[in-house]
Amino acid sequence: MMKKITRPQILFAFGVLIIVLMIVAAVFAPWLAPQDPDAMSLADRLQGPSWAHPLGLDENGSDVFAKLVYGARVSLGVAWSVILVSCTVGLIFGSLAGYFGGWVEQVLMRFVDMVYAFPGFLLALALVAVLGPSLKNLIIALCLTSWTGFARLVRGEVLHLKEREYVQSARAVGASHVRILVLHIWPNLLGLLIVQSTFAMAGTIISESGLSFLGLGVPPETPTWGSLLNSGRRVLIDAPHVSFSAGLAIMIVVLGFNLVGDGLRDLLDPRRGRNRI
Amino acid sequence: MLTFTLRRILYAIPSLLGVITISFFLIHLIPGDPVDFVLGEQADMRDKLALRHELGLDLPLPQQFVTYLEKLAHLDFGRSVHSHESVFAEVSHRFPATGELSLAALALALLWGLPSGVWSAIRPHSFQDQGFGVLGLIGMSVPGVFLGPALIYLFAMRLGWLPVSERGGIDHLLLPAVSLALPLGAVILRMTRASMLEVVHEDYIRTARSKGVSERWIFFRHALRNALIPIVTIVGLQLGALLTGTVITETIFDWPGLGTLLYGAIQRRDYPMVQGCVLFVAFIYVAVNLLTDLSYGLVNPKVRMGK
Repeated sequence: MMKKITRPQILFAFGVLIIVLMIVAAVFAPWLAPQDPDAMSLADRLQGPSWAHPLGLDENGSDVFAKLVYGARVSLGVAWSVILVSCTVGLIFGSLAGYFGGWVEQVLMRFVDMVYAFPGFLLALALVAVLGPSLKNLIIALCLTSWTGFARLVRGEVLHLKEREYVQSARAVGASHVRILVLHIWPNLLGLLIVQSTFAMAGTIISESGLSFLGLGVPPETPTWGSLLNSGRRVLIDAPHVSFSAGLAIMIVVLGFNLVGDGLRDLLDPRRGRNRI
Repeated sequence: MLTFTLRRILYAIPSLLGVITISFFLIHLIPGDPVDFVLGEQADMRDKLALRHELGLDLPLPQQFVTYLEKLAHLDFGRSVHSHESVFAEVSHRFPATGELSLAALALALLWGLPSGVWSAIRPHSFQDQGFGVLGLIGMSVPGVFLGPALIYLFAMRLGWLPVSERGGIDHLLLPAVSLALPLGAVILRMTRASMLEVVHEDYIRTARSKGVSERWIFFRHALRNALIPIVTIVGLQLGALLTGTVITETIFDWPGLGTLLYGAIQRRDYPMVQGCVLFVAFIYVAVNLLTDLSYGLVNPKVRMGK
C-alpha cells in the first residue's frame, strides 16, 4: 500500500527537479557556460569530454555544454511563449463557444475543426518555410498548431460547468456573462489548463527541436538543441558526444514535463487521473 | 451503418475545404512578392512575368481560388518550378515509400505497445507494470531527432548490422521504422493500459466473473473489446501523424518519400511543389481520420446505431 502512494510522488518530484534544473540552466547560462557558445577553437574540434569542456567540442570547436545551456533559453522561451499564447487564445475561443452555444459555437468550432483537420507539424513546417526562419515566425507557427487542442478541451469543460448549480444561481441573481465566465467558470478550468499546458510544453519542445533540426526554426547562428543535433549528425561517427548530449538533453527535459503532467493530472483531476501510471 | 457512413463522409467535407483553403493561402503568406521569393529579386523580368502567369498570380484573388479549385478537380497540382515535372506525378511517385515506412512503423508499434499495455493492465502496480510504465514514459519523451541518429550510431556505425540509409529490403526499413515505432508504441501502451483499467471496474466484468468465466476470456473477450475505442482513436490519429510527420525521420535516413520531397522543395523554394506536398499529405490525413471515425462503427455497435 505504501508503494502505491509514494511512487507517483517520487516520479513527480523527479520531474519537478528536471524542470527546475533546466530553468536554472537557462537563467544562469552566462555563469554556467565554461566559455562563450560562439567561441571556436578549430584546432581542438570534435574533442571529447574533458574537465575544461564537460561535454566536449563540436565540429567548429565550440563548447557543447555552453551551447546546451544557451539552447535551453531558446527552447524554454519558445515553448513558454507558445503555451501562453495558445492557452489564452484557446481559452477565449473555447469558453465563448461552450458558454454561448448556438451559432457562436457553430462558427467558432467549425473554424477550430478546420485548423485541427490540418496536420500540426506539417502546418508549422509549411508556415516557417513560407515566412522565413525567425524566432517570431517559429512561435507563430507552433501556436497555430497547439491552440486548437486548448480550445476543444475548454469548450468541452465549459459545456459541463455552465450547467452547475453555482453558475445557474449566479445567473439567477443577475450576474453578467463576463462576470460568470471570469469569476465562476475560469477558476474551475485552471487545473485542466495547467495539466494540458504541461503536456503541451513537452510536445512543443519536441516540435521546436524538429524544426530547428531541419534548419527551419530560428536563424542558423542561434544555438538550439535541434541545430546542435543537426550539426552532430554530420560528425556522428567521430564525435557522437555532440548528438548524444543534445539528444539526451531534449529527452530528459521532455521526460520532466511528462512526469510533472502525469503527477499534476493525478493531483488536480482525480477523475481522469485514477488509473494512470 | 450506411447512414452512419454517409454522415461521417459529409462531416469530412468541411475539413477538406479547410485544408484546401489553408494550402491555397500559403503562397499569399509569403512576405513580399512570391515570385521574387521563388526566383530571387535579380531574376529576369520576363521570367518573373512568366512565372506569375503560370502560378496564376496575375488574376484577382477570388478568381485565383476558383482556378485553383478547378485544377484540383482535375488532379492538377501544378508544375515544379525546379524540375518542371508535374507535382502530382512526383508526389504519387514518392508516396509508396512513405506509406511503406508508416505501415511498418505502425505494425511494429502495435506489436510492442498493445501486448505490453494489456499485460500492464492485467496486474496493475506489479513489477512488470512498473517496468512498462518507465519504458512508456521514456518512449514518449524521446524525440525522433535523437532516436534516429542514436540508432544509426549504434546499429549501423558501431555494430555494422544494418545499412544506414536509403530504401531497399527489410534491413533498410528496420531502423527508420523502429525509430518511428518506439514513441508511437509508447503512446499505444499508455492508452491501452489506461483504457483497460477503466473498463475492468464495469458491472459486466463483475457479472462475467461471478458467472465463473475464466480470467483470460474476461480480459480478451470482454475487457479488451470495450477498451478498443480509445485505442483505435489513438492509432488513427497517430497513423495520420506518421504519414505527415515522417519528414524528420526520412531526412535522417535519406528515405525517398514525401518527407524528403517536401524538405528538398522547401530548401529550393520550389513553391508549387511545397503546396502540392502539403495538400496531398493533408488530404491523406483527413482520409485517415475519416476511416478512423468509420472504424468506431465496426468496433462499437452503439456508435453505428446513431447515438
